[in-house]
Amino acid sequence: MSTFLSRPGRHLVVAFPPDLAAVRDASRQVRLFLEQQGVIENESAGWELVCAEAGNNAVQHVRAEALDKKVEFLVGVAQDRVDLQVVDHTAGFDMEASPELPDDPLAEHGRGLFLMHSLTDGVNYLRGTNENRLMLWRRRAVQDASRTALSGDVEAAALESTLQTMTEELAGCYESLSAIFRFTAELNRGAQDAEFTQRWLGELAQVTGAEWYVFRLAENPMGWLTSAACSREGCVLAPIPLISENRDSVEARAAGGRQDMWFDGSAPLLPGDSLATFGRPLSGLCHPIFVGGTLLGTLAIGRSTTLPAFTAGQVNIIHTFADFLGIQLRNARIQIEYVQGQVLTRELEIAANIQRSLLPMRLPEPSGFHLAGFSRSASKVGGDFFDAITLDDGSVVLAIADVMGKGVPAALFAATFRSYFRARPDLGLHPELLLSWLNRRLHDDLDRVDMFVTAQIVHIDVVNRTIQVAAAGHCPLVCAGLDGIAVEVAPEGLPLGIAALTEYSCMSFRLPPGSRMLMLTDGIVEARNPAGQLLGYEPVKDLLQRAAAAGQPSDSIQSELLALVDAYRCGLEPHDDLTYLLVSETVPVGVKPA
Amino acid sequence: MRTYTVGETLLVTEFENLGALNAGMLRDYVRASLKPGHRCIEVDLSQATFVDSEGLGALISAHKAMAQCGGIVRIKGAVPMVRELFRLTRLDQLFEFSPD
Repeated sequence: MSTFLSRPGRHLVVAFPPDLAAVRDASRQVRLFLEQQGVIENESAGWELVCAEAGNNAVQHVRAEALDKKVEFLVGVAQDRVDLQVVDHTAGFDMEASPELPDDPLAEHGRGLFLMHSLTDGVNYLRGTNENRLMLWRRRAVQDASRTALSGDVEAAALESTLQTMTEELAGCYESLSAIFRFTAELNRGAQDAEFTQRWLGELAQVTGAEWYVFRLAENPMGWLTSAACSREGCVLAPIPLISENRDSVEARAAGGRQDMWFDGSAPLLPGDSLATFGRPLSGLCHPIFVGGTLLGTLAIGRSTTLPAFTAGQVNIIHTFADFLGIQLRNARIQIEYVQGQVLTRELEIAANIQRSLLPMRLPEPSGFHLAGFSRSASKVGGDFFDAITLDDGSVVLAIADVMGKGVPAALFAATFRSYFRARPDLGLHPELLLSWLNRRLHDDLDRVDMFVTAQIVHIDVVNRTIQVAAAGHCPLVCAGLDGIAVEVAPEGLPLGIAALTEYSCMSFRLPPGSRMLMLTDGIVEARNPAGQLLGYEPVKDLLQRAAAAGQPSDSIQSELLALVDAYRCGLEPHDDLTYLLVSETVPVGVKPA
Repeated sequence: MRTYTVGETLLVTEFENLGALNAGMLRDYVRASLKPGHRCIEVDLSQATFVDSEGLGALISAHKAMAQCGGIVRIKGAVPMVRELFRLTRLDQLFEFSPD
């Protein structure tokens, strides 16, 4: 503004102390000046009112330490417009784009900003640490054809003043924009967040002449402000709690109050403020960065001086840089979350493929029996598993297991179980010994991650038609024969992974003629209907009884079993994996088995 | 600025402007002069060439005092520019206006 002030006669500058009587006089001077310049009476009176409203605000809200500073009216008259700038020393305020009248028509205050906007064509407000500048302009309704040479000079002065202000603003905009373009290109080349932030804030410090800065990230809106970048290399400041009672920290106050906080020699930092690490005196501001209404962090920036640190134009640049940084960091977070989501999805797909590959491609075909198995996961990767192997003597060993939990860890334990199960076929003749051995192998790994496995192992001597069953906390198997009786078989035993030295027991029985035997996981009997009730064993036993009595082949038993479970759920999503192994005697009905 | 009573009306007159500088004075005068029998406050703005938002606030305060006893505030002799200010702030709906 130096050019504006150094050319008397081309404009009007009224500087006055902050009291209401002086505002009245100064406003009247502006009106007289405008009338002398040929501005029509109505418009001059309007400007008098605008000056009064702006001047009253400047006086009524002046900062205590600025009582010796003068309020200024700077007026320029051009052929087609009038410009007014009001310089005040208040704490400033957030200018609304279109101030409204008070909601309560009986409110006795709150119409000043509305009047200033209504009586002018444009309002701009630059907020600085030492002064604020309110800039207003209005087109003139009537052109004065008999303007004098003096009024031409005044017009030129006003134009020059406007250009000066615009140049200052444009210079700031240019600095901001050129930095934004350069750094955006860098981001697109994959620059890291931390490095980008540091370089971006270094650029800002250079543009504004700042001597120090601290950028903090909000861990979550109600959590902590943690140090993310600092002008002092290697400096990591302690986190600041974001609680409303935290009055020591200017950064916490800016974040909590959602507005800029200034500090300088006349309004120093509080004794406990962590910014004191930059020494004293300090002057600057802390700007809270919000993206989409959510607090992203804070930027404290300043100089080591008692004087106000930044001009209004520099404050605008700081806002632009800080808010751009906020948007970039938010975008980077979204990008990382997306990539992580993609990686997780891919990992789950791989785990699901592994799990599917664990299930036997073909089941053994022991003489006189047919084996069928099925597994369906409730999530992408489940913890259910079954397997079957043929021993050298022609007998078969069946295993079914349910790893507690789902997802990748459950699939990994299912894979480990399968490896161990197949490693000791010699123990297959004694399911209880095989379970003990499996428990000893798996216990430490399961115990470390607080997981366990329920399992059931069955040995079928197809020649003697005998069955041996051992179970580790697993649900009973169901066996039915031609006699129409279905039984649950449930030897006791702790799940694998609970106690390292668990010994298991074994139950033996002869298969009834025309038997149908179902080994299952709890996803079948614990299927829930919409009322939350469990399916239970009875419907399964009924199904097997009928199947055995009718000599039903395993295909139709399987389809009836799945239909039974699905119908019971009435379309509800399954909450657990569903797995079974079905053993059906193939001797035709009516033929006495050998 | 002075006030006097004619019948049920409290007259407020003799001021050249009504703004931040003397709005408090108007409030004090009305508070001190208003009696239970008053049914109207008539504010004579015929000499006032300037009114600002603080002045409007003082008039609203007078309106609220009168509204409690069922009375009104009448603005007398407002010049066109001042009348325009009432229109702009929609306070022309709150007060009664009379010519000189």
